[in-house]
Amino acid sequence: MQNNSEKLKHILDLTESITQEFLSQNNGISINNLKEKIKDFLFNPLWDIDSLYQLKRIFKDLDLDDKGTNDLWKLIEETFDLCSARQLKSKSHVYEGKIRVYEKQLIEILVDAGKTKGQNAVFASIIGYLLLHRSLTQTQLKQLTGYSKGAISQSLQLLSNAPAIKKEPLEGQREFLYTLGADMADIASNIGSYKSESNELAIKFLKNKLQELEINRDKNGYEILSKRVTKMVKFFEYNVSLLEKIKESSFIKELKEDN
Amino acid sequence: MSSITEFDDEIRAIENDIFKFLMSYSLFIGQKATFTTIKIYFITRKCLTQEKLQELTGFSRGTISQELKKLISMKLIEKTSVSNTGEITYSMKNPIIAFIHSFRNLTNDISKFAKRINTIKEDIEKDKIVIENLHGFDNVYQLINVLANSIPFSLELIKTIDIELANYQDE
Repeated sequence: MQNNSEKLKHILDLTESITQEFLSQNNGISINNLKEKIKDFLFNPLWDIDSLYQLKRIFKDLDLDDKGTNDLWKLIEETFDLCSARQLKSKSHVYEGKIRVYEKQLIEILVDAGKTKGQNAVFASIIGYLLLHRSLTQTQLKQLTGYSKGAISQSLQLLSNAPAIKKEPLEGQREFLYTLGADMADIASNIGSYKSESNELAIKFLKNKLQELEINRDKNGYEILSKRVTKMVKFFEYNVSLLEKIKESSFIKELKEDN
Repeated sequence: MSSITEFDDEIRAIENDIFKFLMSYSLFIGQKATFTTIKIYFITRKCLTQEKLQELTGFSRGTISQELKKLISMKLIEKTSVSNTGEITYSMKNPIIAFIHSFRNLTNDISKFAKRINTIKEDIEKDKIVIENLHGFDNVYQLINVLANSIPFSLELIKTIDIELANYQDE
C-alpha cells in the first residue's frame, strides 16, 4: 500500500509521462489545452461515471473507420437530444396536446362540484390543479388557471391555513412551492360527502343554544324554539349513528380497498 | 286560529345565532339567500304569515310570495289556516324536512357529475393508444379513474342515507 506522499509522487510521475506522450503526438498544440482537459477529467464528477469507461471500451473494440465513427456519433447525439427533451417535458407543468384539453374538463367538473358546496371557482381550480400536479408555484398556477395573481394569492392564503397544504420556499427564488398533502382518493370520496364532523359540530352548537334557552324559560318564544332545536339535535344525532353504520357496511369497505 | 308567536328579545338573540349558523350550514350553501333565509325562519318558527316574514327579513312582498310558492312546490311548507281578514298562515311541520330536502338536492348534483365524469373517462379510453405517451397522461388518467370509481361509492352512500331518512321522516 502506498502512503500519501508516495501517491503524490506517483501522480506526478504519471502526469510527466502523459505530457510527454501528448507532446510527441501533437506537434504545435498548446500544452494549456491538455492542462484544461486533464483538470476537467480529474475534478469534474462527470468522469466518475463507470458507464463512461464502458462506453469508451466498447467504442474502441468496434474499431470503426472515420465514416463509421461519424455515423455512430450522429446516433449518440440523437440519443442525447431525445433524453434531454424528455427530461424537459417531464418537468413542465403544461400538459401536452389533448391531455391539456382533458385536464381542463376535469378542472371544470371540480369547480362546478365546489360551487355546490359554496367554494369559489379560483379556490376549487387551485385544488384541482394541485391534485393533478401535486406541487406548483404561484406563477405556474397563474398560467394554468388564467386567474390574476391577486385572486390566486388570496385563495392560496386561505388554503395555507388548511393542514393538507404545504408551503415551502424555493431555493434561490422569491417564490413558494405549494404541495397538496391529501391524495386523489381522499378528495374524490369527499365530493358531496355527508361528513360526520359537520353533524357533530351542529349537535354541539345546538345543544349549547338549548342551554341558553333554558335560562329563558319564562320568555315568549321559548317553547316553540326549544322544541324545534330539540328536533334538529335528534336529527343530527341520528345522522351520526347512520354514518357510523354505513362506514361499517361491507359495500363501503370493499370500495375503499379497490381504490 | 293564528299560532304566530312573538319572540322576546332574549329568545330573538338566540334565534339569530341559530340563523347565522344555518346560513353557513354546508347543505344549505349554494341556494339563493332569500330562499334560505325564509326557509330558516320556518325551521325556527314553524308557523309564519307573509306579514311576519316581511317584518323578520325586510324582503319585499313580491320576493316573499315568490319564495313561499317555491317552498310549497317543494313540499317544505303548507298552508295551514286563513284568518277572517284573509291572512294565510304557512307552516313547516317538522324542521328536519328542510335538511332532508337539501340532502336530496345533493343526490341530483352527484348524478349530474357522474354523467360528465363517465363521458370524459370514455373519451380518454377511446384516445388512450394515441395519447398515452403524452406528458401528463398518467396524472389525468389517474384522477379520472379515481373520480369514476368514487361514483358508485357516493351514490350507494346517498341511496342508503336516503332510505334511512325517509324512514326517519315517517316515524
